[in-house]
Amino acid sequence: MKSRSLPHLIRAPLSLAAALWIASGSVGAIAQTTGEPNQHPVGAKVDESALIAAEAAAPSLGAGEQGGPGPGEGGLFVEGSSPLDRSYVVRVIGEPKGPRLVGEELERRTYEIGLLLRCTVCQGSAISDSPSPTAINMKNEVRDLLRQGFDQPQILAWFEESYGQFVLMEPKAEGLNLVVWFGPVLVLLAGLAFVFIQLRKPDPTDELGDTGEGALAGGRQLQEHLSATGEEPTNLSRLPKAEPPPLDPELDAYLREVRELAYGADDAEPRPGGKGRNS
Amino acid sequence: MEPSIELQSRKRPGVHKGVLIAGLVIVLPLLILFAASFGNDPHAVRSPLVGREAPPFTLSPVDGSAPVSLASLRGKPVVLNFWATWCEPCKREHGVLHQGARAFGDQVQFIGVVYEDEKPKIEAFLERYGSGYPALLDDGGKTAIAYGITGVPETFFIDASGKVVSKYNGPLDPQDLRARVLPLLEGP
Repeated sequence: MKSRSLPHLIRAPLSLAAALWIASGSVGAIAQTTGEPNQHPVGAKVDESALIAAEAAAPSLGAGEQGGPGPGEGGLFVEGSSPLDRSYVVRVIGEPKGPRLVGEELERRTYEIGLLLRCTVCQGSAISDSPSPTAINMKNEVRDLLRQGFDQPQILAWFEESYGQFVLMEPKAEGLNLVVWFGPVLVLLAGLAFVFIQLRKPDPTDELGDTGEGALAGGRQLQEHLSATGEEPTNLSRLPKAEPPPLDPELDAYLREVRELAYGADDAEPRPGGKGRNS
Repeated sequence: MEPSIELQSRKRPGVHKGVLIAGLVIVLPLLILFAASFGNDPHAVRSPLVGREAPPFTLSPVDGSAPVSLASLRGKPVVLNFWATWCEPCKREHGVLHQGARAFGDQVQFIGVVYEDEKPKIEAFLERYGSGYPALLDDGGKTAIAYGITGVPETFFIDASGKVVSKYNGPLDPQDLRARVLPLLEGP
């Protein structure tokens, strides 16, 4: 007899119970965001996944309404008990200028705008790249504003009005910031100009300049020497040998010792192609 | 001729004047910038809210009493302190603010907004260190965002007309607190 049937029987109701539990959690969270925020159990830790589910569901609940904010559009502008009132936001960044976003478009734009905003408690991360609670709160704020129809410049302005330009991942191209924007390009151009000027400059060590006159003069001298003496140009062994420089007596003694060790005699020379005593 | 003598007499290559000027043009502004900013706390950014209307809020106190709104406090200066139980400097500062709230009495309203914290921990903290003024919960951190909070403690000094007069980053000591509250009492 197969024993599969019993676990299967247990699993099915467990799965159903889990699904119901998850669904009830989401519904509860939706109910929290659609109701009066101050009716929440104050300070209760809200489950993040339920919050996301609630935010995704909220636009559809409030989508039919026109004009001012209403319940179901997130907690930002709910009249009477919201942490921020809509009139203040409008006073700061003006009336919404964009479309009210929902669904995938809302999430996509939240992520994109989140890349432009700095997580204020992280080291150089955008809020879209940070899992910190502050970054999550800021992302939720971006999502709420997009849902209300505020466009990207307005949302960036909203954060800038609170935090200053520090919150923007890209500094604005104005005032001292121009140094950051154009400084590297100017330095690069200056470097290229410097290299170009240096390459065009005559070599100060060449007395005849860099026109090749030195090499030509040397060639002419050699030609004159060869025609005067009647030597063949390839017979270099007949050219007079240069005097070897005088040797340091101490170095000379050392060299003799090395020669004796390496070649067996203190005046021996290395054999052509040889690599020492063992070769 | 001695080779060493020839080496010694060879002219050392000097610093090119143009290179020196170009280097100074690049490096000097950076040095000035570093010198001017050295020692500054990168988080101590001047708040753009100073001189402007304080962002309004309505938040519930941790003790479950009626929500408190900033608008309802219009006509009285407000010391708005963002803090958390997990913030060590906030513990030191809590005593200063507690004393301040008692010293200034009805003249100034002290308010604490708890930043990214949990209710049981806040209750335990207030039980242990005392509570002389409302501690408000900022679920979702929207008030902290509106005030541009980058860490705790941070304190805003709001005059009777609802305008932000100054902001203080870090734990206040009694002298700082006094120096910032007294101008609020002179009126807007």
